[in-house]
Amino acid sequence: MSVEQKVIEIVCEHLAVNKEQVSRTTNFIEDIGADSLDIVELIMELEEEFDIQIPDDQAEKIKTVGEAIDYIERETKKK
Amino acid sequence: MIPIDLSGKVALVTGVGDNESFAWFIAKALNAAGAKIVLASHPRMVGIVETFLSRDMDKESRTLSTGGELKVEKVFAMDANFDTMADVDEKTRGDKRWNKYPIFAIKEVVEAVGQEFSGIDIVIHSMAFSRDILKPQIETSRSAYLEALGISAFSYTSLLRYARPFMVSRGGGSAVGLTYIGGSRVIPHYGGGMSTAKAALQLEAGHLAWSLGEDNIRVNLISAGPYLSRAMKAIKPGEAHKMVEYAASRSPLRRAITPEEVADTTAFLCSPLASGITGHTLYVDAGYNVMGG
Ligand SMILES: NC(=O)c1ccc[n+]([C@@H]2O[C@H](COP(=O)([O-])OP(=O)(O)OC[C@H]3O[C@@H](n4cnc5c(N)ncnc54)[C@H](O)[C@@H]3O)[C@@H](O)[C@H]2O)c1
Repeated sequence: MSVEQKVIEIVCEHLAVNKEQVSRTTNFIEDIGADSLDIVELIMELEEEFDIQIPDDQAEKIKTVGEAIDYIERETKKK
Repeated sequence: MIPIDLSGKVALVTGVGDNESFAWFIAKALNAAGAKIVLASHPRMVGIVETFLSRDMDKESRTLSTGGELKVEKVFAMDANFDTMADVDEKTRGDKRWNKYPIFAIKEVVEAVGQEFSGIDIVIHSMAFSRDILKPQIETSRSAYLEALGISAFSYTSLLRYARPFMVSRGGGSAVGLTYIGGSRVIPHYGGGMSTAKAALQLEAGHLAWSLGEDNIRVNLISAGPYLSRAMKAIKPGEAHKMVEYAASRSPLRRAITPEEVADTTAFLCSPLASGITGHTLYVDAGYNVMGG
C-alpha cells in the first residue's frame, strides 16, 4: 500500500469520514471538521504507523492530507 | 540529608495531557519519591497519554531524576465537567469518545481509584479550560465563563469531596493544585473567565484547607510562572514564547521556570517537610510576583 493510501485510510478511520470525502487537498479543519485534539491524535497515529517523528513546529504546518503525505514521504526516504 | 520519602503513598494525578504537561513532571517527581501514580486524564487525552507512556521514542521523557522510568499504575478517563455520571448530558452520553469508558465523572473515578488502591494520599489538580480563552473578559460569554469556573476551579472542591473518605482512611493526606498570577492581578490576555476561575480557585483552596484540616488533609496551590505547555500555547497562539521571555526578563532570577521546579515543589508540599503548610499559594515563578515595575 502506498503512503498516500495508508494516510487516507488512517484519516478516514480516525476522523470517521468516507474515502470519497478525502483527497490530497482535503483540509483537516475546514473540510472534515477536525479540532486541534483530533489533529494531535492523528499526528501520533501517523508517527507510529510510519515510525517517524513529527515535531510540533512541523505538525503545525500540516493542514491538508497532501501536506501530511509529502512530509511522511520525505521523512521515510531519509531513513 | 533530609529525604522526601513518599513510598507506599497513592497519588491521584489529574491534568496529564501529554509529556509536557506540568502534571507529567509532577507524576515523575512523586514517582521518583516512591509514590504510586494513578492518572485521571480527560477522556479525549487518554489515548494520547497512553502513547506517551509506552512508545520507545518517548522513553527519555519518562526518565526520572533518580534514574528509573516513570511507572503509572493505571490511567482513568475523567472529565472534570461532570461531578457524577448522573450529571452527564445527552450529547456527551451519545459521543463514543466519552461513552467508550463506563465511568468518567469525578465521583465515580475517584471512588474507583480509592477502592482499587485501598485509599488515596495525594491529590493533584492540574486542569484548566475555557473555550473563550482568546477573548478578553468584556467579550466572554456567560456559558464559557461558567464552564471555565466549573472545570478549572470547582473541580478542586469536587475532587477533594469524593477523595476525602479515602484520604481519611489513610490518616490524612495532601492536595496540590496549579494556579497562575492572572488569578490575583490583571494579565490582559488571560481572558475567557480563566482569571476569575483562578481567583476562585485561590480562595477555594483556603476554604478546602479549613474544611479538611480537621481530617489532617492539607490543601495548597502552586502559582507557576509561564511555561510553554499546550494550555499556555492556546492562550497566545504563536506568541506564547514572548510571554515566557517577558516574565523571565522581569523576574529576580532573570530566567523562566522549568516544569521540574514546579514538580519538585509539589513533592515538597506533599511531604512531611511541609506538614505545617496548608491553605497556601506558593509562587514558583522565579520571583516575578514580587516585582512592581
Ligand atoms: N503553563 C503555564 O504557563 C501555567 C502557569 C500557571 C499555571 N498553570 C496551570 O497549570 C495547570 C496545568 O496546565 P499545563 O500548563 O500543564 O497545560 P496542559 O494543557 O498540559 O494541562 C491542562 C490539562 O487540563 C486538562 N483538562 C482541560 N479540560 C478538562 C476537563 N474538562 N476534564 C479533565 N481535564 C481537563 C487537559 O486535558 C490538560 O491535560 C492548569 O491549571 C494551568 O492553568 C499553567
